[in-house]
Amino acid sequence: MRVIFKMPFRREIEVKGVKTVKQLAEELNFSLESNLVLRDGKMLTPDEKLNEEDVVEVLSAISGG
Amino acid sequence: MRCRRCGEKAEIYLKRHNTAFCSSCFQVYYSEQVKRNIKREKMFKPNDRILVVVSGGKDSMALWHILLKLGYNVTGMYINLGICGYSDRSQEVVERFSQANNAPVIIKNIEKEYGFSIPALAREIRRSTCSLCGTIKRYLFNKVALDGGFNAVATGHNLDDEAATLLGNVLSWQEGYLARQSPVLPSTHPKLVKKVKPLYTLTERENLAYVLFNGIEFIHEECPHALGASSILYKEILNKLEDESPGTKQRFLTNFYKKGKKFFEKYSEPVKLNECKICGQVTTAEICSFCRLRQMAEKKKVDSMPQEGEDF
Repeated sequence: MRVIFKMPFRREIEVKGVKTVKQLAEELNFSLESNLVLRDGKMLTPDEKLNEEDVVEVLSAISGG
Repeated sequence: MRCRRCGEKAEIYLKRHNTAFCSSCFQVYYSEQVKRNIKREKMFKPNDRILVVVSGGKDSMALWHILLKLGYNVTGMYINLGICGYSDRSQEVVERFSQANNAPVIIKNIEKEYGFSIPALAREIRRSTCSLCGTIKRYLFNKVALDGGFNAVATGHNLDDEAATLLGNVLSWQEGYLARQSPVLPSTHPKLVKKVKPLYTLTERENLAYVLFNGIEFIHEECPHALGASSILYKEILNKLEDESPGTKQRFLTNFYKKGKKFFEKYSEPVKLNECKICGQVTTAEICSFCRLRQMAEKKKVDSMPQEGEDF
């Protein structure tokens, strides 16, 4: 699957295999408290299954100020 | 996961509440939180006029939207700080929201109205852009609210902002700041308008979800000056704790208000407030920090002007 991180810098990575959102966060070491994970513009809960052909967006919720 | 309220497919999981919601039930939760905060902390009354300061970011746009939705008498206020590109893009977001929602907005432009740009002045007088920006914003929030007869100034500060500020103040034991941190800063002078933070129990992630669920446009890019800010580091650290032990962030903040804050109250010394000799706004000095900045900007302008008889 293609995983696109939007902020602070756009970064794209390819991840192999079927896994849940929670497993993806653990594998890529990002916090589900600091980020929202979306597929086709829809937010996903941690138990949601992600497939090989999915395009997943990770939006950071953290801002400065 | 299923929505706790209606049993439909959930779209967001809130670990600290061990609850998942679908989009529409999340919005019920969100608006209940905001209503409860306003009531519990006596932020404002139904007919009060509220000035919501907006940056174009997710938190302030969410606040503007929810207060309008709850039927409050709300006016937005945007300050264009002259931060290259970023300020103009965020102003456009604010103006588009105002038009689409028929929501009144006051736009202030520092460069056009006061003749100086924050990044340039910060370089010239060797102060950080963020501290200058803070001084200017605080001054204008109050001045615009006072001149316009508003009852309160509302900001989009969220749970992460407040918990990160608290952590920063605890790490260096800033007794005075700890004494003053609050979701409501009451008016302590007839010319100081009350400041309130209706989103202080909602996380940044929940505000992001709120703007996404509602299709509210917002500026996702970070202010270029905020990159690397210590507040971001504190937020990441608090979220690491939160991942391991859900509820830590909210407990840290709300238990500070309930149990910890009272021990610092003696450090909140009453200060003598004066009216600035130049603009009449409230200050602890003779001339307020905003007017002092303007004087410095003027002086820099005069100093850099060619003098009579000067050779080039």
